[in-house]
Amino acid sequence: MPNRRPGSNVSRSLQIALLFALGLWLGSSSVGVIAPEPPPPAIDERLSALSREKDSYDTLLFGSSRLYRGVDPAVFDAEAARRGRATRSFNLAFAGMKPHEANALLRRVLSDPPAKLRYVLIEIGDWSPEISEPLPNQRAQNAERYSARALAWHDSSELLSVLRSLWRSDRSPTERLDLALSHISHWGARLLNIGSAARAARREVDAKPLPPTSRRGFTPYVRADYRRGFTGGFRRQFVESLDEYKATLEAMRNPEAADSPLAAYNHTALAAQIASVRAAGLEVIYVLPPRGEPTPHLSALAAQRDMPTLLDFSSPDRYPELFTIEHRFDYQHLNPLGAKIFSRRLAEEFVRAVEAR
Amino acid sequence: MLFTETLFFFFFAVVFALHWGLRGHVARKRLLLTASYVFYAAWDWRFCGLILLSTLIDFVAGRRLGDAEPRSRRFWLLVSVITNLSLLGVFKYFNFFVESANSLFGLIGLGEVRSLDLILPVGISFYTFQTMSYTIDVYRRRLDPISNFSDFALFVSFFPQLVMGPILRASGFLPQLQKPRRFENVPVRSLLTLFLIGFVKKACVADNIAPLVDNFYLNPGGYDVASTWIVIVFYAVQLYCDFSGYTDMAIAVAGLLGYQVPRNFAFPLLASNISDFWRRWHISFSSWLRDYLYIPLGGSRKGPVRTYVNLTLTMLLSGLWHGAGWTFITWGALNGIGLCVHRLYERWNGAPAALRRVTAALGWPLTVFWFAFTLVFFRSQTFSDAWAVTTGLLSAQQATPASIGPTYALWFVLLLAVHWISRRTEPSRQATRVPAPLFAFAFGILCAIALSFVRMEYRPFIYFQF
Repeated sequence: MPNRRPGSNVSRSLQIALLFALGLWLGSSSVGVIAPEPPPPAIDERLSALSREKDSYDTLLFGSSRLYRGVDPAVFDAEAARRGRATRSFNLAFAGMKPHEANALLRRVLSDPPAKLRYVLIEIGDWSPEISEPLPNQRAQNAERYSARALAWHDSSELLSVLRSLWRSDRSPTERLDLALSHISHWGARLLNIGSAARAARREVDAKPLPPTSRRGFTPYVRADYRRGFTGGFRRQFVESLDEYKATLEAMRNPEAADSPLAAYNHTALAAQIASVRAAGLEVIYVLPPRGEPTPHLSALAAQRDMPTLLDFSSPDRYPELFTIEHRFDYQHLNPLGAKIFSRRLAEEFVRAVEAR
Repeated sequence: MLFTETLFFFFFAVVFALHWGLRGHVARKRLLLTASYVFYAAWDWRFCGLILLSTLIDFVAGRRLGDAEPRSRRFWLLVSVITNLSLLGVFKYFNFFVESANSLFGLIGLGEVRSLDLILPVGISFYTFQTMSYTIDVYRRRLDPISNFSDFALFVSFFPQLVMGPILRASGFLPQLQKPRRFENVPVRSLLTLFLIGFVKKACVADNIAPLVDNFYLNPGGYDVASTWIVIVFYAVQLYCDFSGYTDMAIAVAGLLGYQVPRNFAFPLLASNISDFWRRWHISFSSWLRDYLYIPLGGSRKGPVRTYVNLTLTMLLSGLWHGAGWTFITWGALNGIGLCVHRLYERWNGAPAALRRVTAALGWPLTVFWFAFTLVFFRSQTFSDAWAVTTGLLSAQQATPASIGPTYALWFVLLLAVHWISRRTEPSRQATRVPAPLFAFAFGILCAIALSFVRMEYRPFIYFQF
């Protein structure tokens, strides 16, 4: 670069800056071409499992751990068949998958959908603009926030959508700015392949084979989950505060809680999602699983104009068996027995909704 | 605000543009002073008062030292030294002394003293040593006291080196503040290359090694011998890349603003012996200790025994400077022992030529492994962790599920090769030979490649804790 006072030769400085930008773009594009980053390992494993019998599936489920841990495609299909509708489903939901990430995964699957695919069941959510769930320690939080998974869904379309969610949220301006900058930096990182070689090298060096996806994506809690890790921590918290859980159930029954506003909801993201599924010639059905907190605003979405079917399991009065302590792992998740019941009830409501059309 | 963060790039772009856009030299210096305080406030604005206090006291002490009588001069020197050491003592060492005293009181059945809930101000160990060197130099009449307070404040707080050095000497930096800086004299290509090298060391090498070392130290007894050796060597590489990466970036940032700060590392991992190593590692701190501690203690002028005592004492204090803990003091002691042993050997006239040849050949690996071994105490939180690692180096434990694969050893060889080539080629100097347009294009490509190796999690520099 020239050793002269800045501004003395604006056009030359611009030329230099352009050459730098060109080099940066060319370099990062080359990195992307030479070593394209595969989807994050856990998601990659699920997509690989889907692709093994891809064209046999007609129903796919997208969402968070509430579906990942809660819907057994085998039970779902058996119940649907018993009610006269043959389905073959695959559960693509995954732990910690928020609506924006699920939407990016949905768009990925729809770009080359299974040949027989007809129904897409999506967990309805709040389009939360958070990048990751709050975790017990800063180190784990950092790792989560900058994980390959967190970066992978930050394409231009999802960035705009999440910024819209953020704009509509009731956070303070500082929080909004902080989160917006984080999302933009994730988008920039993805665009420029920042850290992609490091992640690839780490995958090679630290190759730890993931457990293969079995049971068509359904991953129930097992004995070890009751003891270890964060899951164990959440479980312990649940067990130690059962009175709090019962109080939450009471709050969910309280009709006063139903006046939560929908003003902050990202309707645009929802509408775009519905349109993308319909554009692929598929039917979209939303699912509100039995959660551990009142969500009347999500239930209220069913009454919105142009809203597809919403299968709502959030009421402890309508589905008491999904909220009993014996059927739950923790606040948010069902245990294997609860998952079996939920899969049946989901299939029952699904068949009813499909036949009602 | 880390040098590797996007926020810093925006901050620096604004400071750079304003600095060279301003016409007056005084205006530029005021801008740098303001920017330095903004930079420091980005860590924790509450500690700006602390740095200002240190600056004020040393400025006044320096002025008084310039024209006072000998007795009064000693008084002002003591004011400066005691103030600075007190700041360090309260914020850095108070809890350490309290905990050590409580352990002792516990043994003799006395009650406990309460520790304080204090945050360690970033960079306090660096700027207090910097300001002390000023007053000591003025006291020794090696430097004239400065009359311009804002110049002195800029010397103390100059943001490129404020939080992690290199520790500036007033005699090297204050004269630079007298002369207007000229952009024409700034070797931009060379400095940008140096910044990129520093960035790669920190963000691409040190940060990618960090999880390996962190996981190891969570369970230091759970690894086999080979893994333990790999990790201790890798921690030396991590520490070097983390710290020297910061220094490279600091030199580049200061240079881009027209100021020179001293070199802090001279390829220490290629040192042929431990004395050579300490001449190449954290040079600004080692030379500070030499000039203001080792030599005043008598250096090597008072006989061999006193020399060894002085060496050991200096290294013990070096350990204590790094961290308020017995593990750091042990680290310092081990390095002191290393220096003494090497000095003894150097002075052994009867050493056979064959032995000299063997030690010459083994000097480099021995130095690297000795330093890496001492870092076990530097990195361990407790003595029991350090003991677990030390025994792990020698135990016959077989590979465990947590073991680290041999692939990592290949990475070490690769990194070492790059280190060696860098010394031979000095890329930042070579950069000045490349025409500006070609440099800009190539620099863009290199930045893209470097960015692809970045580990994105937030990882502060290791030396921030000191």
